Amino acid sequence: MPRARTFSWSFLRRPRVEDEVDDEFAFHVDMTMQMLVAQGSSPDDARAEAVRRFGNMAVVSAECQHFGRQRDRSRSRAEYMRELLQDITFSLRQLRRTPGFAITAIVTLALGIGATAAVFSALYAVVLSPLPFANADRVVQFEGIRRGSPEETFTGAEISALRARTDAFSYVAAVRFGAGLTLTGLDVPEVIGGMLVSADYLRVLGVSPQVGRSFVDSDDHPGAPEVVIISDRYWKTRFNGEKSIIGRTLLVEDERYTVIGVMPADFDALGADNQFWAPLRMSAEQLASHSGRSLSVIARLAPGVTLARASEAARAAVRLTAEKNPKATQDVSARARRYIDTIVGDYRQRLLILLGAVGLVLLIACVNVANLLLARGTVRARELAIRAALGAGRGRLIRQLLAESLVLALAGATLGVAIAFGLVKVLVSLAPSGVPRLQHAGVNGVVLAFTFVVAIVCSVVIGLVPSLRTAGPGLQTSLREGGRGAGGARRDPLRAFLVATEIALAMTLLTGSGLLIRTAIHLQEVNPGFKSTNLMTARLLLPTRYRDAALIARTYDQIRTAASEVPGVQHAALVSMVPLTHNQLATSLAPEGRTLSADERINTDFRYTSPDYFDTMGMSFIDGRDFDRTDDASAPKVCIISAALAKKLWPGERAVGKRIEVMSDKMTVVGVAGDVHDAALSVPPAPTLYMPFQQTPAGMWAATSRSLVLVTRTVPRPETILPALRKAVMSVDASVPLADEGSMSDILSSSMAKSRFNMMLLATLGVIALVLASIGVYGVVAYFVSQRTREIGVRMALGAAPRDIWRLVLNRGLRPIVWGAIAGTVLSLLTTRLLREQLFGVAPNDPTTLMVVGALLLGVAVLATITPARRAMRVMPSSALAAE
Amino acid sequence: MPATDRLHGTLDALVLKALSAEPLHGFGILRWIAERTDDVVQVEEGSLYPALYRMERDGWLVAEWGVTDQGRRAKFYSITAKGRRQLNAETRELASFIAAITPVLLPA
Repeated sequence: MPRARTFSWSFLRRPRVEDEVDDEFAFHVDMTMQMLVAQGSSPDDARAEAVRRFGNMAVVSAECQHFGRQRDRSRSRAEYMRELLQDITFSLRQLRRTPGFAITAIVTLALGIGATAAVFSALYAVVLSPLPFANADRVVQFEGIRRGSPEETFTGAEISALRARTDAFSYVAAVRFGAGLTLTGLDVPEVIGGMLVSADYLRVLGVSPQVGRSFVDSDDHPGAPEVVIISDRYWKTRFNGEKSIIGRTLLVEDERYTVIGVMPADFDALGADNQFWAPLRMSAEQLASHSGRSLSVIARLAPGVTLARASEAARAAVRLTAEKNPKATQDVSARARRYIDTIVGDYRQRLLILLGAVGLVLLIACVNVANLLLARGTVRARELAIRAALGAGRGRLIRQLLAESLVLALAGATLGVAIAFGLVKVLVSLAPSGVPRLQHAGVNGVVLAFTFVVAIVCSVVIGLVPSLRTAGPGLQTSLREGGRGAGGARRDPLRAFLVATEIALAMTLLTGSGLLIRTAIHLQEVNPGFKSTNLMTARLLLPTRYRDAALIARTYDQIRTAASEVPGVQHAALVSMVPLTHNQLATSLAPEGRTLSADERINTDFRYTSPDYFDTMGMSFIDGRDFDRTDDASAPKVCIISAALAKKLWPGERAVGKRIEVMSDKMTVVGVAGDVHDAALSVPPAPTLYMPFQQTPAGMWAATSRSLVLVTRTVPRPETILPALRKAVMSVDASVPLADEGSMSDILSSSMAKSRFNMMLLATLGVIALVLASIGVYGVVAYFVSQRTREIGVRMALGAAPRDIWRLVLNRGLRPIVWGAIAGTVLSLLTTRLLREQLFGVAPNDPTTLMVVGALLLGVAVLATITPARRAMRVMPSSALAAE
Repeated sequence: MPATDRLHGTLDALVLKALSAEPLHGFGILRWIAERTDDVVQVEEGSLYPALYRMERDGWLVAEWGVTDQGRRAKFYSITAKGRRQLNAETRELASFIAAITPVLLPA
């Protein structure tokens, strides 16, 4: 038997599999031949027989090569993994030897990665996660464009025209958002919010109730039995999630509504205040009407229809409708937007900007760690040089260094995920209310995957530059330099570049947050046009049995009287809508006697108010008189106009006494009131028309669900009088509920909540960036001083004054800072444009902000430079030289 | 159990058995099997070598180039721990297979 002398062939050049198989087969054929010859065959016969025994040798050989190649592949994979594991264990050992460095680096990265992951999880929840619909990307919402301005709502005739386009839309549903049902039969009547929808609504969304049934067409006919579908949340909180809810009735203003279904739980994410869905029940007249635009329209695209074709069809539909109604403006258009986009709105941009900002912070953190690694790389250059001299390849050395940064980044990411868990909770609790779907933000699988990718990218960013540099061609010199530093360290462009980068990134962030801070200050200074302190507001809804306009007016008058008698109430008034609540009613008007075309008429918001509204709100009153109790349905029609409207109607003339035509009515202007910021503080006051609530037409009462807002100016804190106010209202009619109670200061501050939230986040990120950047500057200058102690000593020994050393160090430290500030200015000018829509009263390229931020940054950077520079000045020549 | 698997399994078992005593090259394995079975079992080269490469890929065998007694370079196979476990399993299955078919094909 042959004996195998073992030796490892893995050190040799690995033979190709083909050669291996050929050699092995040749040996076998030879051995068979020898055996056959020994048995008496002729050599030729023996060879032929030996080959024959292999069968089709080419096929057998191919099969062997196939297995052999698979074997080699899995071997080299295993080998690579083994080496990587070696590198990682080695890195871990190295890091344990320098715990200070390791902790600094890991914590820095963890903060950056954690903040990034938290912002990403908000972005994912709000913007990226799919809607809980079947084929959600096929659902669109229409947006009308009338005389150039976008409008969300459509007329009945337009809805019918959109429905007719069955070529483009499978289903079209009309929706009235913000509807309310008054539940009676409870101790205190309660209003639940929800939507009135046409029967196709759930078909458009492709959603079925989790319990019970969907709406069917017969539910949607006027006069059909009242039915309602309730939200999962309402079902769980009110009815303990009992299945028996289906078929039960709710008492709504003494009418019985049968509960037919419960929506799925994930549907709550779309809007927490939607507690019910009830049929809209448009009559034939409503569906043919060209007036009364109050319905939003959503649709499911027909198979194969693109968004562009859907917009085309919508445009054609509204144009066709407009042609049938020649009195109205013909300047109409419409488009279809993905439903997800209308839900997400401008949060997509806001959150992307935030993600960009937090990405910058992470980048600064990475640069800081890269700097630390670079400094360490220099210290370790000798060790690496020795390893290289012992035969480790350059690639292997780089991989070793990258393994180290990978270990750091993964450790940072692990800690970062823990930080993100907490940060997301903080983010969600601090966020302004009404950010869609934010409540569902959390660290989920997608966020973890994102964090992992971020960590890998970080490890490359922090590892690649230092490793290329350390393992680079300068390696040999470090042996010669006695380990004092990598070659050519006299000038250190790479490190200076990193510092400049940090400064530039921090400057960009600070400029952005500076602009938002200035915006917030400007907003704070805007006079809203009313005095918000000590104002309480609450919406009142009169039940459906109040049909007669005169009865409604009388009841509201009684309520106002009762409210004004509540102790602590100075003024009480009624208004159809308070400012800053996004519920404007709008129309167009013309001065009497002037015929204006549909396109020339003046657009205005309008409100119905009681007497004393302007005093209650603390608005200025410019001219004429307030409404009076006698301005009732039997009296001549009167109105009060805002200063902005007066200026549009009769520029330079006195408005009081003049007459206007509006909504096929004529009325006399009896007063001019001061302007109010209605839509938002950042939006200029809109022209507004005020009319006495006693003159409200019956049709308007129906459209507003017989609802007015009770506004009271109080002496004590407004919230404290709410119970007494409720009692006063119930003394008039115990079935009238109060809804949306809130002080005007709360309404005012929540109107600024979005911009304040953004400012706060960006400012926080800016401060973190500033701190990180100054740590980076400090680290680099301190390192420079420690590496140059000997040189400084020599210079001082040769007669250099401390002042000269001071100048040397400052010069070295400040030059990259100045370059960074210049680059940061350019970068700021390029990026702050993204903030344009969030700014108010300040331009994206505001020079003051840039200058202040630049000065702040330079100041902090100089402070970070001074400490090590002072240390350099105190270097004793003798000790510096002795240290060598 | 399909017949081809049974055949594979049997060949694998024979090869692993041959190597369980000492490392052998391919020709040596054939000779070992022929000698032990008095030339009843004739394994073909065309089946043997693909089986060897397959088992090497699966980690049942490892191969090393060595030198024979006659001073020739040859590829020697030896069995791994994993291979031994496989041999045990194959042997057990083969035994139960034979126990199952014997009363059918060779009734007493």
